[in-house]
Parts: sequence; C-alpha cells; structure tokens
Amino acid sequence: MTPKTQFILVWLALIALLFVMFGLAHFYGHIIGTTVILLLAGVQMLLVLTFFMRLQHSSAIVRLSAAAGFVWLSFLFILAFSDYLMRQWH
Amino acid sequence: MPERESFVEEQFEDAPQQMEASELGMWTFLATEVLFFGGFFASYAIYRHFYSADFALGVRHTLLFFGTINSVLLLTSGLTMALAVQAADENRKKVIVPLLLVTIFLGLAFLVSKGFEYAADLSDKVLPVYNFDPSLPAHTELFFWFYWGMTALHAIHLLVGIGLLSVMTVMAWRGKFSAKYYNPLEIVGLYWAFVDIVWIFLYPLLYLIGRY
Repeated sequence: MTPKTQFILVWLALIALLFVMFGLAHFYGHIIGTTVILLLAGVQMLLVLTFFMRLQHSSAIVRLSAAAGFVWLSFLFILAFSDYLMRQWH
Repeated sequence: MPERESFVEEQFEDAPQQMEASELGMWTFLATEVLFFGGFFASYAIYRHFYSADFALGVRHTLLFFGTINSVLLLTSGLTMALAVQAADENRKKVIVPLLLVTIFLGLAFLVSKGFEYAADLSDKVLPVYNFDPSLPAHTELFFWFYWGMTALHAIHLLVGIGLLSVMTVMAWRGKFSAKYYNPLEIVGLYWAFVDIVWIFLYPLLYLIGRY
C-alpha cells in the first residue's frame, strides 16, 4: 500500500467514525453513550497521531516526546478527579 | 570529509539529525499546547461532572449542523496537509503548492462557517453576560463560557496555522523544499494535525454528548 492510499483510507475511517459518533449521540444518552463517543474520539486522535503526524515512522525519542504531553495531561485528570470525586460534600 | 549541504546548520552532523531535532522541538512545543488546552478540558470535565444536566442543556443549544460540517472540513484538511508533506518526502514538488492551497481553503472555510455559527449563537442569546437568555439556568451560562472560550482559542490556533501555511506555500512555490529538506513543512504539518486533534475532542464535548 502506498502512503497516499494509506492516508486516504485513514481519512475515510475518520469520517466514518465521525458519523458513528453523530448517530450514537442521537440514540444513547448517559454513561454508556458518553464513554463510547469519547473512546471513538480517542481512536480518531490515535489515527491522526500515527498516520497524519507520521509517528509510525518516527524514532523512539520523538515518540516519547509526543507521549509526554498526554502523560502529564493524564496526571492532571487523575489528580483532579481523585480529589473532586472523593471529597465529602455537604 | 564529505561536503555539507547548504541547508544543514553547523551544529548538526547531517540532514537526518537536523530533521529529528526539528521534530523533537515541535513535539516538545506541542506537549505545552496539550497542557494549555488540557487545563480547559480538565475544568470542563470537573464542572460537567457537577452540573451535568445544565451542561447537557447547553449542548442542546449549540448548532450541530455547523459543528458537523466543520468536523468534516477540518478532518479533510488534515488529509491534504499529510499528503503535502508526503509529496515533499517523495520529491513530487509540483503537487505541494496545490495541496497546501486546498488545506488553506478548507481552514478558511472552517472559519467562515464558524463565523456564521457565532452570528446564529448571538441571535440565540447564548453569549454569557452580554446577551444571555435569562430563562436558561446559571450553569448553562457556565457551559457557554467554555463553548466560547474553547472554540475561540481553537479558532485563533487555526488562524495562526493558516498564516504558517501561507508562508509554506510561498516557500514551496519558490522551490525551497525537496525530499532532502522539508523540515519547516513537516513541523507545520504537525501543528496543523494538533489543531485537528483539539477539534476532534471539542466536537463531542460541545455538540454531541447530552443531546439525546
């Protein structure tokens, strides 16, 4: 598969995922719908990172620096929610 | 000692090392951008957790039509950007400029569509403080602080991206890029894809989740 074909397939997958998310939002509310929609957005992000941002061909050091921002962001979420979800509210 | 190519700066051994340094620098910058937008996303998540009903009401007041069209425009611009970088990598110089122009066009189309959406939002009275429908709950107004703040910050990034792409188009037009050297194009491509990723999460958070 040439890189060009690969990019076009990735784009088709991104658009398909977009419309799956669009459809889900109209039929499923609450926690399951929310989780699935955000997971699909995560898949879209991984597709862009891997192919459009060419991390599939990058060296280990570049991949590590690409992951760094997301690792720190996960600390922000984990620590913030470990506080807000555990607090006793009156 | 082999002769150095003119585009290799003196601190680098060779072109691949210079390219890797450019990528590393750009990803480090993008990590700061992830945290910059991340603060917005984290505070959105916390407030959404506490005021989920009012936030869901806010989602039902955003304009799904514009949001979806804009997602398609931006994802497609991600494709044309990736194709432009790939064309440089394969030394197909003639297609770089057209692909960059299509990317710029898609970015501008996004901004125009966003402008129409903002105008419609104003007539729907969802601008906090200045023009907000008093019948909506206070925490729906909080949702719209996030809506305007996050989409405006994203739009500013897109505008910067269009500026960078214009510079890249001129450089490509003047034949500055080849398979051996296209570092500026590569890192602008990374920036553009990052702006794409921010929108990938803004779309479900501001337009989808809570609509049902």
